[in-house]
Amino acid sequence: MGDKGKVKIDVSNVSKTFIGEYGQKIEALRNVSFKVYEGEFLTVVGPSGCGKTTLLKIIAGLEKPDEGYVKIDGKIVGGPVSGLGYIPQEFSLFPWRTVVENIEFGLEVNGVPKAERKRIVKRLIGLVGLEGFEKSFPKELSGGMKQKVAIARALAIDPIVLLLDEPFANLDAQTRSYMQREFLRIWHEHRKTVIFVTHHIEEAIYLADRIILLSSRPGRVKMELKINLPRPRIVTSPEFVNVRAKLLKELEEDFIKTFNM
Amino acid sequence: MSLNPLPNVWGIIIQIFYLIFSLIVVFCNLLVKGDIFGVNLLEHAAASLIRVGVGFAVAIVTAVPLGLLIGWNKKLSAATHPLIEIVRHIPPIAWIPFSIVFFGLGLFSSAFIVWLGAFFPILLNTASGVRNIGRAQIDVAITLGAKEKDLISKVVFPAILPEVITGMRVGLGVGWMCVIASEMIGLRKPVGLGFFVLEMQYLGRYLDMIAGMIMIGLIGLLLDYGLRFLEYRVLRWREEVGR
Repeated sequence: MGDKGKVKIDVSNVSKTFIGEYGQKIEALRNVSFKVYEGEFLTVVGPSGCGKTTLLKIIAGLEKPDEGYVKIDGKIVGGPVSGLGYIPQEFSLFPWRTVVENIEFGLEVNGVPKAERKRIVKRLIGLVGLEGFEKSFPKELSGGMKQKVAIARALAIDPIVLLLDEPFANLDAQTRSYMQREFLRIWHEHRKTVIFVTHHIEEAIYLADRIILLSSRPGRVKMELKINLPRPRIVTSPEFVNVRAKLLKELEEDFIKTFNM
Repeated sequence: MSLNPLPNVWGIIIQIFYLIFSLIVVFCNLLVKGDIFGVNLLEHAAASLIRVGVGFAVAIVTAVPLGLLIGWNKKLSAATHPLIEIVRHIPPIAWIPFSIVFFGLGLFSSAFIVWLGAFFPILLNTASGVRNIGRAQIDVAITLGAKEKDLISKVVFPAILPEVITGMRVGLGVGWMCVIASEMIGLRKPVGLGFFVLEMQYLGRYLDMIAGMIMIGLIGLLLDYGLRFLEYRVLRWREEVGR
């Protein structure tokens, strides 16, 4: 599964420091390097505030790194990359557009003819299971359905990669695990390269081919872990619990160090 | 204190009914035959509406683009803030003498006052709308391939529309008050509801005066209904607008 295949995304020595509200320096990322291979499902796990979102924005070209670079398909990212499937945590749907109009946004701005758009949107509505809600506005949808629209909207442009920033963080536990299963099912259909950011360890292990563990601020790559468990994974299986314990231990050490406990 | 207050109470009630009845008669008369100069109340209303329409239209055309700029650009916003706050706190009515000096006694003089009254609510609401646009929506639009013109027409414009319309509603209300005031002070054109109300006071025709005031209120209500209808039609997607 993309193991040592073609390098799709190359993150090399990326560092980023922000200037805070009172002029203080906030070091978000320090020397972060990793590679993502074509068709791979990578999750980036780390405690809140470790610069995960910043990292994703740098990969998408929405932020510039102070040092280092990101390459997608061998090309250095210099500005906003168009043709990416970026899925933020929430509030990313266009509330003035219906489900269909949201999904076709990317096609519209890329000049895809109407008939073609209709065909693609219809297929995606079927794929994510939103039949019957085509003409609904986001306000009429549940949290899980909203994120399905966001996923479909990202897939509509046949993106180079999918970048997800804690997409299920605001869902209740049941919806969350349902959406994880759904997302894997959808992913199996197209096998896009995925970077999925989360602070939820179980979610990361459930989904990923490989996990990158970031330390707390400034975010550094602390650990890389391949997950070889067959899918669908069972969260209560001993193997799963083992991996979970290993990751938790790492995170906890980091936590204790940070807070001097 | 009267020992037997009953006759007085009845007297007052009868007087009130008589007054209301006379007012209705006067009002209808103004709509059918017109005032003592033969000018229909609707003509007065139309004159005021044209003035408010011109001022309001100019206010939209000027305030929305400027609001976009100010909302978008923090430096520009900080730089213009003191000026906006100073001018905003000069009541439009205080501008009437200035307006007469600059624009004379015509349509533009009134429209200028309306413009002043409507401009700031629209400007400030538009700017706040731009500031409140979700970062995530912009980021997603860019990564999906939206160019600058798409961002403006397909993200920024629909996103700020609710606040622009709110600004328009407030602005139109203020503008309507402004036109009446401008017609009362100085702009002695022989038509317009403000002119009519003041003229009727001078002539001692108090029922006509009150009928004119009622007309002002009714039109204000209708104008707001118009914009609320627009809001309802255009903003069906909003949480606040009924399903």
